Amino acid sequence: MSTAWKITLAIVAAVLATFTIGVLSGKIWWFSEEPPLMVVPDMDDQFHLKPQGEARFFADNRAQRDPVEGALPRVGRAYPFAMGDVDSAEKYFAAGNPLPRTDFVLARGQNRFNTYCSPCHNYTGTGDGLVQKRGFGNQETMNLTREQARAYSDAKIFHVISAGQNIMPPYADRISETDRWAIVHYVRELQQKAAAGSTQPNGMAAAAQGSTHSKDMQ
Amino acid sequence: MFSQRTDRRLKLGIIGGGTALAIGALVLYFGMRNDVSDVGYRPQQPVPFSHKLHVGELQIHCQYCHAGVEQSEHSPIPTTSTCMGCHIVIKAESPKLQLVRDSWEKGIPIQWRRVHKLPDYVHFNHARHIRAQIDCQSCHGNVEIQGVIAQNKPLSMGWCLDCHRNPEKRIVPARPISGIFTGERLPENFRDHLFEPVNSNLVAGVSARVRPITSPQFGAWETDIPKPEIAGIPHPKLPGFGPENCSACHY
Repeated sequence: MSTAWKITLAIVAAVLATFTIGVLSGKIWWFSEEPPLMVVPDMDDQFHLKPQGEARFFADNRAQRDPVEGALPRVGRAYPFAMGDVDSAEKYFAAGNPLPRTDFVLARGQNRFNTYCSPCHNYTGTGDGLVQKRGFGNQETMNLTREQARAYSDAKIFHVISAGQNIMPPYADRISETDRWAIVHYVRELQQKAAAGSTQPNGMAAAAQGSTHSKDMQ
Repeated sequence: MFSQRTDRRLKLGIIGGGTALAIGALVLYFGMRNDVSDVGYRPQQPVPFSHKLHVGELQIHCQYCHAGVEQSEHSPIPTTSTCMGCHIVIKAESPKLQLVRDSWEKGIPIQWRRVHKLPDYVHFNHARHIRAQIDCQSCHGNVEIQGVIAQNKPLSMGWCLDCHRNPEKRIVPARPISGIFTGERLPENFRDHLFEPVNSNLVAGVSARVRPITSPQFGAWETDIPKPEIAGIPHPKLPGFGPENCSACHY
């Protein structure tokens, strides 16, 4: 075998080895903006509409059509009151929170509160979440643990979550009705913890305020 | 039989052709694997949205935007109103968000490009996996460090089965950042560990709990399933061995 042959073979072997090791290592080596190549497409793409998919049949290309007038949701129900219509809501939900205040409900309340409320209201409800701090500037987010918010009725808190208030968007489409009541329970608990903290002597109050979230967990 | 020259040419042709075939076979065999052809698919989205900023830095939980993943087979792409919930105030003039504002005003959805696509002959139910406290990271990788979202895992049949057979070795248990409900309060210092699994021994105890429900060669396994709901709240299922029978994933 000539030297040229040997060199060629060595290069080929090296390339193959790198390729194989690269593949098997599982690390992403390169990114592509092109959709994956389908050598044998089989039945990967079938002719049917997919959720949030595309449908050329309709002028706006949407596979998912708007519900007809008067359609009712299969699960849950649409929230009937508009933003700011607190009176009607308080009358309608006069019975207060229908959920029992159990550990399970509070755990669920914490989970949903952390997910949907904490970006602005913070994990402690004090209204200084990361989005609030970085994004809103002068626009204040309500401190859920202060006196004014503590005086809110359960129905009013539920209404604000469902329909929004000022710049807060409505969450009725994203949080189920049961979960919203669980959040109300959890907000009440946050308020109790904060109130317990503020009745302590001055020096302690600031420290307790800062660590409300860790006290909650006990 | 042949002249010396032809003989040499033939030998060269056979060796060369053989090598070319071998290389071709190797490239095809490895190149067609999903972890080569699909992983790393990172399409340019119409709006330059960054998960790194929204999840990594602002710590917005996955379910804040992808709400409904607990109930639905399909994990929803957030609606324009979800974007505008904040961006009606934040960066309200930014040219990068022009498309979002147009969509908001005209009521026409943004055409996001799909990254994760399973073949149409299989179904994947997000809700089941979320209710089993399997973290998003198990299949979507570290979303919180990705500026533009890319496919991180092969999503091939073998890859699914690896996890269905040995979940305790592969799945990531629920992390606080994903907003997955574990049925329990978070530990008190959860804030410092938002991106780490809450309960890693949950998965380690899997094998102690599972019991076979069909003949092992078809391999459907199931854990004790708690009541699906308590007072209208979805109850999380314990992670266990996933089913291995064909109809669990194939239509």
